[in-house]
Amino acid sequence: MVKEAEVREPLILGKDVTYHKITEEVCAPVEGRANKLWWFIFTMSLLLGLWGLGSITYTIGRGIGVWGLNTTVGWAWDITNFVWWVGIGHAGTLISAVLLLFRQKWRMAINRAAEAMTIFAVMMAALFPGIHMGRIWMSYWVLPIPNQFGSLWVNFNSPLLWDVFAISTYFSVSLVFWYIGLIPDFATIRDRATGPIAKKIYSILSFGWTGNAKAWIRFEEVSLVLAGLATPLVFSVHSIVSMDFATSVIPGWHTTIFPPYFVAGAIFSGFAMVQTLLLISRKVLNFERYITIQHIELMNVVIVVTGSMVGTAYLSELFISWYSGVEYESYAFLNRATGPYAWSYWIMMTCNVITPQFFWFKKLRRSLTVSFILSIFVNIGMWFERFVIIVTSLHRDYIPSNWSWFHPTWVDIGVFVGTIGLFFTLFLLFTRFFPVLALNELKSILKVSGESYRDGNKPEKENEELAA
Amino acid sequence: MSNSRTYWNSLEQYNNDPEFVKNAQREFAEDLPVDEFLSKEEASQSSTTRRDFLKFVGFSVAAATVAACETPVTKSIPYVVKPEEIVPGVANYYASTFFDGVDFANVLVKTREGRPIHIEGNKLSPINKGGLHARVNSSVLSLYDSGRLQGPTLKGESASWEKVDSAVASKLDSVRANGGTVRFLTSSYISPSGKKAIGKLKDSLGENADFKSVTYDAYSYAGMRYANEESFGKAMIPQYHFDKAKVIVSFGADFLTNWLSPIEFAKQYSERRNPSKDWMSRHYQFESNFSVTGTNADVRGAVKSSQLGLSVIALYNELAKKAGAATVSMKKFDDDNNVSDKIKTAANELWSNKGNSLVVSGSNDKDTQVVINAINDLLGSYGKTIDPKTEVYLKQSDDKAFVELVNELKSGSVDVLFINGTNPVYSAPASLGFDKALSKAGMAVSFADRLEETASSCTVNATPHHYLESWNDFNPKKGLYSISQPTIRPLFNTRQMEDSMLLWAGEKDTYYDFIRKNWEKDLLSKQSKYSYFDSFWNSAVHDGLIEVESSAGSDSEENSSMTFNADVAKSASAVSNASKSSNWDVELYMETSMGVGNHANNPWLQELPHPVSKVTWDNYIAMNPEDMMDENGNEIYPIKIAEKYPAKTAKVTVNGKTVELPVIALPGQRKGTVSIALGYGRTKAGKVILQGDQKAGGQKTIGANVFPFVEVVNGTMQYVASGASIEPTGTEYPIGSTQIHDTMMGRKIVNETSLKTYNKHGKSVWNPDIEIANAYGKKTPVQKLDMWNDHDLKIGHHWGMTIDLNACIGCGACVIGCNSENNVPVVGKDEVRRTRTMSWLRIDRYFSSNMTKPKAKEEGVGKIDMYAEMEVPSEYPEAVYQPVMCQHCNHAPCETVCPVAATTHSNEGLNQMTYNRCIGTRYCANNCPYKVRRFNWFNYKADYKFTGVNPSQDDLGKMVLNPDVTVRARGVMEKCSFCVQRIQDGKLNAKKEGRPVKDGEVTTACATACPTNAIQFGDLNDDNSQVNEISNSDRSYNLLQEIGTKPNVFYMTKVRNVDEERVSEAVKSHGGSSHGHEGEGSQGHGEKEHNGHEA
Repeated sequence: MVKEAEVREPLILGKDVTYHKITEEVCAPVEGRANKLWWFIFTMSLLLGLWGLGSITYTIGRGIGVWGLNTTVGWAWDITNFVWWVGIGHAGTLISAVLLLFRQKWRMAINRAAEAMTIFAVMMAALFPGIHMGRIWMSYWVLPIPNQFGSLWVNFNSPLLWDVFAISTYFSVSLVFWYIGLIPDFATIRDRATGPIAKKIYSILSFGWTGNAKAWIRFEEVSLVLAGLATPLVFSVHSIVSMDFATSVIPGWHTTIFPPYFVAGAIFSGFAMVQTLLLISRKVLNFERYITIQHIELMNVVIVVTGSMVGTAYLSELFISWYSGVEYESYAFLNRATGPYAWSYWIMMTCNVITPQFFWFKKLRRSLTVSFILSIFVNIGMWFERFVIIVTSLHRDYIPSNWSWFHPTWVDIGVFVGTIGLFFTLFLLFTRFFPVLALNELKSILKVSGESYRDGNKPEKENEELAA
Repeated sequence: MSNSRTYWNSLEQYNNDPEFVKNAQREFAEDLPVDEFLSKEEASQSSTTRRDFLKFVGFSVAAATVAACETPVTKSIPYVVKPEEIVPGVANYYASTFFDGVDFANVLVKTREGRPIHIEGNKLSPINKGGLHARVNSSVLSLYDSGRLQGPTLKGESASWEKVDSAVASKLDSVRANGGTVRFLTSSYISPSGKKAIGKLKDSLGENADFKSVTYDAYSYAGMRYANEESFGKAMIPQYHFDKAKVIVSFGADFLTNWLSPIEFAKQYSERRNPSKDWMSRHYQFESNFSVTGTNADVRGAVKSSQLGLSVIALYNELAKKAGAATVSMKKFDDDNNVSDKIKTAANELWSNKGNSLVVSGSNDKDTQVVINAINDLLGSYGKTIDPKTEVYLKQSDDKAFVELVNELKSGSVDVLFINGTNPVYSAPASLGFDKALSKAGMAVSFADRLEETASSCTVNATPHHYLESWNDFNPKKGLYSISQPTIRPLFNTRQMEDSMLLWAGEKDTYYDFIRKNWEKDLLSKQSKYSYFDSFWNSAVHDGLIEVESSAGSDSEENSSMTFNADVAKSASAVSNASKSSNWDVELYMETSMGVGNHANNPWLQELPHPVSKVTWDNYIAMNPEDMMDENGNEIYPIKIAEKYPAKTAKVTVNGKTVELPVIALPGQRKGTVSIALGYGRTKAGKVILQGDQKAGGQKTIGANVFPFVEVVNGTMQYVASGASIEPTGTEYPIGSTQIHDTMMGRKIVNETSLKTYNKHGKSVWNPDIEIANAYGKKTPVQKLDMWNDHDLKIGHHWGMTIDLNACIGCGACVIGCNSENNVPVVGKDEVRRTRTMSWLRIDRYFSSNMTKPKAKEEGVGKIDMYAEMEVPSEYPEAVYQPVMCQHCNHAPCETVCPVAATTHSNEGLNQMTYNRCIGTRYCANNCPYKVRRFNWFNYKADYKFTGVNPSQDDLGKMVLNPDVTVRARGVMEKCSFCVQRIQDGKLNAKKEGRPVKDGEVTTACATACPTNAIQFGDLNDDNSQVNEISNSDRSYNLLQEIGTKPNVFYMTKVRNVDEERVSEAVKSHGGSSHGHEGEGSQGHGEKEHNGHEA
């Protein structure tokens, strides 16, 4: 491979791109005023978010009984939403950390937004284990902190406790990683800021970044170290979440395949969510030049690979349930496919196994519309996957006299839709106040020299000026 | 205590000395040097300035104010003079007696700090022998019913006793003076002293008055009494001995939960249902509804209720042929599920066990009962399984007298009508028109604890005490006298009925003195143990009862000469003629919880699931699922009912009366018949009967009253109606059922076998251990496999429980016992619909299905179809019950998953729940394979949704709470604790006495309440304990033992006394389980052969 640039598509499109132009374009949403579309979506999201907060307040005020749960089905939408959001929160760190380690430069256009999405998704996810507790005001008891209760300590055998550690670690590492990456970009905004308040805030946020070579060296090193730390976390978090189910005795939960299958599923759903968000924001924020069809295609490749892994896992589960000969296990899976909740099983199968297979075709892989629609399908499918695992396993377990149903109430719906609202509210705020693309890193993959800083069309002239 | 004495301190005061008077005005005896102090220099030179002073004042005021801001203190007031027998924290037990005209039981009342909180059976009782019925142990809650009247009423308004007494007295005086008719209408009344008290009133009215007592029970047994009068010359009810009968045939008599004296019969019956004893009785049940007794029968024949009489005649004819007696003619009856064959088999067995067999009928028709008497006479049951010498006085309803009374009332000739313990406006047949008749009474005086349907139409309601507040005596059967004693001072301004009677009769004695005098006079001489009355009385009060030998004399002579001499042919032809074939028969039955509706305002009972249908809070039309579909197999009424799948209602019309009720699928209900429970549809019982969302204003009373359907035929009340019409309305109606799924799905949940298999084969055939093979094919029983370290339970106690599925009849007394002991909240119908009952102990009921795994294998049915068919119960299935509470697993799945270690294992084998530590993740409940954990979804003790139903929300209802058990907070998990407070109490008592805990000393509330001793509790480490013995027996198995949870609850395999072999499915499918868990589940009862046998 000699002529790399000719063989590969450029990562940033457009002939007249200069370093300055990148700065201008990336900073534009932060420095400019929001358009009507932004305000419209923001208001809608905020309203949904407020409805969600209202539903949560009502739940905490009156009791978990306002949800549709019952004695047989003790978890339903709450934990479904939790696992769904955690899964979505996997893509960002994977993109920024794993792809960094693998030197995949195309990640630079999407990692910032993907990481932000991760942070917000994990925030939404972390909400659910909290509010699903009967006594949320005692939730700090899950932390192994010294207390006045004598020898009372947490139960290290409980997968829920492992969750607490896994998610808090993942959240903090992701947050630090994201923030470190933001520092040079914040400095750029600080340097360009005109308002005194904005200048003050961004100068605090940028930690006195000067942009000298030493700082850049340290920046690179810290990024690498954090990427190294974050990479195993990407795999551990969802493995541990899956152990909530895998270590139990409930048929349909008690499955050793869960850790890898959950991680694949998480990456699958995370990439789908990133896809959805990027397809919208590249349009709204005019980032078509940075987030290119090539990016979309590469993401789709990841989706088809992980989607196929998930599909394989589904089929292995079915096979094992038959092969094991355990009657409860085989009934649990038979019931998923043919029982009262068969519709949710088939939604899951269609959305997660069949739809990603369209991406084997290059034409579909590179089609924005198809990508968008399929990414939505995957998001829906992955929500149903968790619903199927949780609700259909619980609703008919060992003792038939207890078999029951689950029906969501308006509060269940409110909390779920509310987190979607909050998530978008946070994401939209992010697009207004944070550089949505890693602008300083992007400059490193621009095939243009710094000579074109002032006037992209006339590098010679600039040279002359400099010479003079 | 007016007292004009004054005391003086000194002579000066006494003399009114001027000096003294002057000084007396002054506060201080000496002059204080105020001026001197103020004039001092130092005072003005103080460094404390005015500002400092104000600061101090400000601080002091603020400090005082802040100090006053404390959290509100709820004062508990100590005894000024502590009653000798009350030690705070220590329970006192008093023997007493429950009788409400329906159920009789000798009880022990547990009181704490002077308030009754729990009711147990009295083990000394020859009737209930320590067992209870749900309607009895729930009665402690009705003491604290806020719907009770707090004093007497006059014309529906509360009034003082003086006013009420004078109103009654003036009326009675006018009767005394001018003569008149006085009627005392009562439910079965068995108080010997009370009868005398009423007699006093009668005597006081003099010769002019026409005074008569009329006994009327809402659910009448008059037919039996009339039949016995015709057969033997005496209207009476004899003592039945189900424990002496090797073959029992019952025609619609639900003798285990409702008929006659159910607790006693359940006890007797269960004694002979243990397969390891020398013999086990065989029980045939012929009925149209699927009663609790029917679910326990070995052979059940579903017969249309209008034709039940014909089946009785059929049995008579079969037996007559054998006995060489004349057969009687009869109409043919529809032979749906081989009833004639079953009758033939029953006849053969009855005949071969002549003298050891018993035939009973639940019919209130005199002629049917005459034929039953004839059958028992042919079988020689009298003197063996039926003891006519021991007369039972519990049911004394005289339907003819009641009808006569209604006619008298209608004619306006009754001047004073007393109504005691019965509610005829609600319960009398509509055709009699009692409510209109009542308004024609000169004065109606009722003795009701609330202004119910009847009392509210009476002039006076002389509100009586609750039985837990009263003295009374009872004579339930010949030779047995029992006592009820007050366990609390009357809560309200009430007065016992008998006291009122004595007062109105002009007697000076209180009823207590009256009873004592009466006992001294009548009973002291009948026994020889005590020669002084006081010791006799004290022992009777202590024990709650005495048994006296019936005095030799005319009585016994009369009994011994009892010979059957009725005209069977005449009665049989009357029965045969009365049976009409009709499209729809309606059977009205008493339900285990509601009975005749006396306890409608008792939320514990309302929420107690009906044993067979598992429906709570409502009555309904029970219909065979096949009848619920039209010709094309489309559902007219939904068969499956759940939260989002409400029932649909239908209009039932019987003799021009129409009632609209939801239709519920009940397999086993005879096709072409429906059954509806009595006791619902009360309109004036209290707030509990109103269900629905209060805020939405959609509150309705529960159920519908079907007493108006009752007809008076040939002088007796008939609870069966033929020729009914049932019209679907299409209206939806939400139903709260605690069990949505009816079948066992081929799993070994209730292990079941037949007596033949049990006797012939070893355990491995009918209760095989579940084994798992390793890679080399070596099989190990699952109990021996373990991935965890064992808890060290060898030292000290190891509590365990055994549940005999053969003894359990499904009645639900244990559920109420548990609710009462453990302060389990009542959650109301809407929450039951959402599968959120809080009850720690549930009784699962499974119906058998036509599809089984071996059958599917044989017929090549695919798995999907097999499971789909397994979900559907048979048309006339067998049923099994299984009480399930926390299994206290030694390797509990719940314990490992709790993030905060709120549920842990004790070193005594208990799975403990620490409410304080629980944060409510519900992970434990999800991971519980038995689903016995209960989550506090709401703050049941304060949330508005439960105001109407949960007793702990009203100040009065709160008094029933057991102070030894926490009322759980919102958001925490709770579950059966094996009554840890009782364990602790028993251990402490033993410790104080310096001895080990004795077997049987510590027991749980459920085990105590059980009328059949199905539940046993004790120490598994005690080699001689009963639980140890039972849990090691061959019948013992753990529920879901293949999961390896190692429960401390052991179930005993159910053994049915049927003739065919019933091999465990695991054995049947491949001669012992191969690898994995394949096929270890077992439908258990070889359903296939059985149905083949039936078909």
